[in-house]
Amino acid sequence: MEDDLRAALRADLAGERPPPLGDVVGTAISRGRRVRRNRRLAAVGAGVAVLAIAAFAAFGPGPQLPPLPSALPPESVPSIAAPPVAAVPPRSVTVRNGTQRAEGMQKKATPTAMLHLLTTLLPPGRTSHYAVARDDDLHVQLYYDAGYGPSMLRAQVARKDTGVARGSAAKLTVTHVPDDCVQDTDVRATWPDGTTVQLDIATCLEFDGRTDPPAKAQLSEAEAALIVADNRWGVTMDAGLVDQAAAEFPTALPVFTR
Amino acid sequence: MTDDEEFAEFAQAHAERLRTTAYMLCRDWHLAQDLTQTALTRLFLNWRRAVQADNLVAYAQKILLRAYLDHRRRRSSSEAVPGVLHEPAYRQNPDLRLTMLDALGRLPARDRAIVILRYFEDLSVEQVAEVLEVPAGVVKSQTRRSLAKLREMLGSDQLALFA
Repeated sequence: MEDDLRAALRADLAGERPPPLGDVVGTAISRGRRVRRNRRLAAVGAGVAVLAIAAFAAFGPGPQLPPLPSALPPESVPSIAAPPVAAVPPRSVTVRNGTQRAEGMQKKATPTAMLHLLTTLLPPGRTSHYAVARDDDLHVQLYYDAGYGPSMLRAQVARKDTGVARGSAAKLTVTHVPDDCVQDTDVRATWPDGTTVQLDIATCLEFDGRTDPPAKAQLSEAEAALIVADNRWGVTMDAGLVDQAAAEFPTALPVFTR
Repeated sequence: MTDDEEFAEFAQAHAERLRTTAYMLCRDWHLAQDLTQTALTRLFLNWRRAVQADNLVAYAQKILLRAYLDHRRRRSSSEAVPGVLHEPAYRQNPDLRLTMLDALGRLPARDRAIVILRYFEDLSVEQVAEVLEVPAGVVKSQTRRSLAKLREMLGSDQLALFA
């Protein structure tokens, strides 16, 4: 019976004249790629929105925060000054080289100043294995242990002059790089003046570039967002902070390889 | 070979077959083309998971079936199915014979899918159950009922097929 049914179906089909198939495969690939791209963009947008909410919720509408617009751009979050920095009246803010600074003298940023600021901003935990990039780049590395064993973080500051002021809103971007354990999660703040602060949350400990022992990431995206959105980061930093960092790290630090 | 190249190779080899299955389900070549396109796009998006399946062809058929059933669910209840459109002609002219595909077209969508998967795609009861996500017992009972309906619709001259 089953064979008869099969034969009848095939006989009926044999009488059909199907139209040309067309490029269904090429179309599927192009549509699929477009869907993937849109999903990635949506994921980044959702991540940024979550970070904005988390950052705002963590600090609340403090006096130094600009009033929230009724329709906050999804990719933007108000710039957040860290708690130790006092609220700054508008008149005391100076704009120098396009970088907004709260108070005091500015100096060229140094890797040690970055390490100092990073350790200040990190949630409670143990830090160690401080290292810097070669060629005096503003790119530093440390190990961070919040109780789950050491994990690695790298921070980088750069600026591509856009000719405009620093502004009060930073664009936050979260990117996941699944094939790169050093940059498993890349949280980045970009200000209108072209200053970019990037924090890489690694899932491995790659200090010397030869071994990649796995490590548990211990910093959330929201916590990382609060760190990179701190207004003290820049290619120039508060002079007092730079001097304090130089005293804290008096000897040359190891150089990490990429 | 990259994932995309692997997908392209598989899809080129099986697109025609998938479209034929889609046609048997919907009796409309243009819709069959759309369903095949939808299924291949979904397969592309889930390619890494798909290649881990025991039977990649069955996996692709499952996606196609779901695309078809989704389409059926979206359709307006007032829309007529091809089988119903054909019915008056058979009533008016007894010389016109109902083909197997016509009769299949008159079965409910899920019952039709079961018959096609069992007797055209040669899937086992368990495989059909897995594709449609229903118990194997449901596939067996629905198959029996569907065959009985087909017998009834096809008339005395084709009863021998299911004797």
